[in-house]
Amino acid sequence: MLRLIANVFNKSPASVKRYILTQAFKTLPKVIRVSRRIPLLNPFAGIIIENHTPFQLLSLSRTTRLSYVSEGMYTGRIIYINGPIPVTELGLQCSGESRERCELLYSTKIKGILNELENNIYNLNLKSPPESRFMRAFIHEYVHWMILRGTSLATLVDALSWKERLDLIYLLEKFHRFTGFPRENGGNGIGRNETFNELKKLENAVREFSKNPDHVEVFRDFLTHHLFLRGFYSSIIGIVVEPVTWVLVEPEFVNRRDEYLRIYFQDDALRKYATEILNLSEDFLNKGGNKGKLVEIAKTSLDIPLNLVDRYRLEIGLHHLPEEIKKRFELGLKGEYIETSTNEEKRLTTVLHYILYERYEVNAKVIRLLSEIIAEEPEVFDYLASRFASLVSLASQRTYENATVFTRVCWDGNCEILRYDPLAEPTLSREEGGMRGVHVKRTNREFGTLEDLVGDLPLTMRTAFEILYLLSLGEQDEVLEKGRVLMGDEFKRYCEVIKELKELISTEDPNKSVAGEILDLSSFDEYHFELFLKLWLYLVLRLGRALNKLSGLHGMFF
Amino acid sequence: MCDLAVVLGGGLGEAGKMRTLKGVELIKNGVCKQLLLVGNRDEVEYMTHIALREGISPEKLLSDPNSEDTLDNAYYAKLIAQKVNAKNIALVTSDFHMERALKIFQHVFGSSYIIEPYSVHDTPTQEALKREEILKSLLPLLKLFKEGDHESIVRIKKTLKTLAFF
Repeated sequence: MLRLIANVFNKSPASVKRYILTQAFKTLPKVIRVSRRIPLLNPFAGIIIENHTPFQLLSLSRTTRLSYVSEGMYTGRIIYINGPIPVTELGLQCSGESRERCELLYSTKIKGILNELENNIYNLNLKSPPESRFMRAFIHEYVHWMILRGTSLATLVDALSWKERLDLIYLLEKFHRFTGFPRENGGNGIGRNETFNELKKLENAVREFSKNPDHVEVFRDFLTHHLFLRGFYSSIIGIVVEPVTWVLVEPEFVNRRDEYLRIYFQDDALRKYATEILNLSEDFLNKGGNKGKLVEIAKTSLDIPLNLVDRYRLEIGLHHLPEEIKKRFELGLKGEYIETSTNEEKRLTTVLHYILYERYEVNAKVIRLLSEIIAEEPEVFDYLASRFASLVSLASQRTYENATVFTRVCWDGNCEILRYDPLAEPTLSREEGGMRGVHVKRTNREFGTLEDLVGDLPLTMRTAFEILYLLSLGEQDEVLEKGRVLMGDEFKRYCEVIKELKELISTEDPNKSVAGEILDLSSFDEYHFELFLKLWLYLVLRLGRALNKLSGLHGMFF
Repeated sequence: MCDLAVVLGGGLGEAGKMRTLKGVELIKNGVCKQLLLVGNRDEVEYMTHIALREGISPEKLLSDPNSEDTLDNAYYAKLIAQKVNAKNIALVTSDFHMERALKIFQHVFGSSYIIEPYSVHDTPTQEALKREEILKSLLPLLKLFKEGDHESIVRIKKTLKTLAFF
């Protein structure tokens, strides 16, 4: 095994063993020291909260069922239904139709469902849940979205997700320029031996790339924000949105509360808060409380002023934030005044600016590179400008009309992720309302996401990190489950590659792991970055474009 | 000789005062013919008060109180420069702000104008410095808009202001 690792990393087996055993997962006290050493300049994001290791932070996110095994996902802006779901389950007939035509039908359908839910959500009687798997997941995620939309925490998770994406776009553009590695994750992947050969050829370029301090810093910034986004804020949001959703539309969850609370909240402390909020919500409704009022109370508890979030991070400790949110919820039930964030404070751009001010020198380089790229793509800029204008104006409103809804649906033997975008109504032509038809000259790609400006690899870095992290925790089943849902015909090969990757990162001590080293921000340096890049490249080369199927856009989810 | 010294509002404190005094100096020393103060309403009132107190005669003093940011400064300054037929412009702002302001002014005014920078030393807050660095990194986007073209400038304003970037 060590020989295999040594082969990938071009080191002697002895040095790999020594390295793994001496440098692996660091202990808690060291992480605490780091949190005090690294300047925390950004009001809304930090490095480490005082009594959590990065591993614990990320583990938290798995306790609120926000991981990929859930049927759907939500942010304050997006609802994503994992599927894959037969398109006929949505009442659509797409057989023989193009993707564009099917998306048009889908958009009309989703718009109708959203309007229906908007008007009737409080009248739903769901003693027996809808038979449709799609509708079950949709209603669940819709209520989550309804609670979270327009709150300060919704903006915060959105801004952190954007920042992650900007960092990864920067890294991939630079990686392409440094190494000449293709922008596109094309092909079906190559064999294991061929992959090792390719890695060998890329070795020097990868090493040079990872030596650049800007690259290391940007990647570390990505890790930091990702830990907070997926490991912390998402969990805190969960203690409110899950129980309130159950009480509103999922009586079977309420009836089997102990079981579901255990499934959703494996972390004892979070489960305690979620249980209290569930009981309080149930009491409120049993005593004749209004469902709409309950949603408003839940929203208010999550619309916490961002300077208060900052105070918890800097002075009191973020682990008290769930307690604060629960208190806000209780005060809301009593009808007492609760301070909320202002619209100006929770504008997406305001929050994003604050995040950029942290390590502004390197962040300025990230933004400059992106500006230079966009400056050459006027068509993309026009599209982005119109889209951002709508998003920015909507994000700070508490009740903006509709969510963007992605669903993975299948017809005629193929599965596609279709998108309904309320800002690009289905009645408009593609040119007027959608992004189809906007072309990125430099990558020769149709513009679908910001990542298309540099190819299709940026988000695979986040996916690779998540896979490494889960494998390091011994959660191979979760990694495989993700592939089972999303990989389709390529699932078998995915299983093989994951097995190989697990072997590559295995150590003799189960408590020590390669991902542990990468996650330990106190010692994260060019060597760790190089290590990560090689493992990421291994996945890219072995899986080819199939790896893209695992990459979600929003950082709150794997 | 410079036709117009354009002083950009810098708040109601020391920075705003020092910028105004620099503009006053350019008039008094005969470097420029007229003084234009641009900023928001409060800033323009503050700068006007200082300029008059320092002895600038009202007929040499112009102002526009409609700006919210540097892009507005350039846009409104150009409208007035066109009115008074000023082609040689002295741009007065803080040193840390000059690089971005100059690029924006050059782009908005276009190549038929000459813009000369006159920096004033300033000690901004850390927050202001960080903001400036991030905003400077967006300057390449100016390339998307035709230099000196009025319609293009209106479009920049509309677009970039939405993003709260300039």
